[in-house]
Amino acid sequence: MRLLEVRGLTTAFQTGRGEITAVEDIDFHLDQGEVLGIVGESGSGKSVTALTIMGLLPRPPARIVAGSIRFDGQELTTLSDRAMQRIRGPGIAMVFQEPMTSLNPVFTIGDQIMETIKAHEQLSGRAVFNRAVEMLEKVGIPSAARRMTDYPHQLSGGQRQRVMLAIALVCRPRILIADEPTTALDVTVQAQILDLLLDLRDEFGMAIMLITHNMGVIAETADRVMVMYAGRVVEEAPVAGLFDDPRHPYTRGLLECVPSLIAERTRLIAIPGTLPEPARRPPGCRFAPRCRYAIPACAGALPPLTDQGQGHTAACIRIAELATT
Amino acid sequence: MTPLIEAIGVSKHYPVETGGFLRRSTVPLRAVDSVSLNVNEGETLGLVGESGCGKSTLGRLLIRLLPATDGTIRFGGKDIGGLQGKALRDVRRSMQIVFQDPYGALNPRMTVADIVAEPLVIHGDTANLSARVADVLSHVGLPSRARERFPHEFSGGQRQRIGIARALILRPKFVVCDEPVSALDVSVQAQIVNLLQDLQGEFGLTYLFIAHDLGVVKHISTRVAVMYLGKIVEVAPKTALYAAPKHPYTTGLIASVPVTHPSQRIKNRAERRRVAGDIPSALDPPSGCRFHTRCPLAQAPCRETEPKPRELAPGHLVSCHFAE
Repeated sequence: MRLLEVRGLTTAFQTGRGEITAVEDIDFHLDQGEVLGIVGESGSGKSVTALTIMGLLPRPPARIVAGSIRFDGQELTTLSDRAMQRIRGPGIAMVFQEPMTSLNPVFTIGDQIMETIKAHEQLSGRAVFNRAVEMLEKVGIPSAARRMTDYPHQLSGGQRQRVMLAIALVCRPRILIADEPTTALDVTVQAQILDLLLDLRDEFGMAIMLITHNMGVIAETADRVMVMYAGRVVEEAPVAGLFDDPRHPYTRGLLECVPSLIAERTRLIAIPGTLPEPARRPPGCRFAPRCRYAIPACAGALPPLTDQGQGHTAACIRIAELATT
Repeated sequence: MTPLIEAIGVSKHYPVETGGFLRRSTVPLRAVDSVSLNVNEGETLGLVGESGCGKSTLGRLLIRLLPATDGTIRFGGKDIGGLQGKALRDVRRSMQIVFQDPYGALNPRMTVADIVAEPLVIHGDTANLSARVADVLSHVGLPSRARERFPHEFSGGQRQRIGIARALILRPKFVVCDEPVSALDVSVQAQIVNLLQDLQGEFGLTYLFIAHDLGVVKHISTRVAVMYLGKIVEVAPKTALYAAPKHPYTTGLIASVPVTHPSQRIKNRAERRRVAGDIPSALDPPSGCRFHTRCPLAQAPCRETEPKPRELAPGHLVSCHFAE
């Protein structure tokens, strides 16, 4: 079932140097129970996409220039703040990258979980407490009832991220947006949190939008993948199709530049240069200046996303030629 | 294989005050506890472990950026533990460090030329200063016009190149690379890793490469050391360590690394041999083997006796009672 449908979404920010477009003409959807991975480097627009869906960007300076976001058939871009508040939590919830700064240091973790329940449901104090303890147990916090009175600083980074997940999931959201949920964590804890996310997905049947820059995290968890570069979607595919047959040169580069535990290379294949700043994006294909396959025509116009079959789309004018290389 | 750096029983303990106002007491935090380790000339020794395991502290001890609480550190056969004044300055010319955070490690008020030249100025070696700055900048792939600009004008990857240039201008023999790529975007990481490898060949450098990314460490290292709560638990040539890890902690660390292709996913998530729980506090480390609280193979002796390093294969040292 289609839970979320985003069409032509464009978000811009007012700055001292004029309006800057952070994400441009984004199309995607999310089905019930699936994990959509969104990959890209810092500045690619993946977090802005998430925050736009959540309605968490301050307006101004942010502005939805165009597009629609439909959640369960309801248009979100035109909703009032009050109505949007009722969507956040039971409809769509989000966990952030920094478990250190996303929790309030002066309230106990119990207070912070119960606050969320109270905001959305009319329950007795006892019931709210029990519900919070139950959720803490679900996310794997040992002796949960006793930990309710702990403050965030008393927990490790991994435990804080588990508490963040408890807050996000306590209202049983239908969509969970996880923005780099494991980036600040050690690999051991990252593996624990990713396993937990998938277990909770199986239990609650929610859909997950998982934002990351780590192709390994995608390989481990996603059903479908969307690759973003400089504010635009450059490729989208089912996870196996993306890893077996990446079509866009940027996706190929992302897959090649990471040293793996299996492949043995004497030299890494780096992508030259860096991501352009939003105000200095090149004309035409935004990846062209860093692309080893670029030809003069690439600077001519923005390449559209074209259908490659089997749910695979990519935005590159040389796809047909490159398929054979 | 000549060891360039030899650490013998090196420890670093920090006094930490605990308890309330009335029952205040001081407890040693054992950041690095009785570590013995060699770094051979011309090699890259990878050092991995979770945050808080003491890997950065160990790196700083080896180049005497921090004084050791206990133990001996030799550089080129010479004990550098007690050196002071000019003798210490002289040996420091040969040992440099590249830091993790390219945003925090460069003074924002200094130009690139001043930042890179500063080590030479400190050592009073200012002949041909600007020519040497230009030379090292070209080696790290920065244009000469970068000299008059400030750090904020550069991207993260370029800032890391500036940090590397500063470390190399004294022509050191040994460079500690402390998480040099973990703050960078993935497409830029590969550029910096390649650069470090090129420079190692050009200048004949020996690296201690500290990182938590096991893929990057496998790529760049000759040998790899695994650290847990202030102790080295396993050291081995890289191929042996990744293909046949012997310490249960190393096995768990490698099993925690995400797969590289979706087809390698393990369907039954309960079957994965990953490391459970969090790293315990270094203020109150577990008795016996420090890993026993998280170890799937722990038995009674592990709680009581600390395992000594054993050489299970040539150059493959493991501190575990039951590793074979």
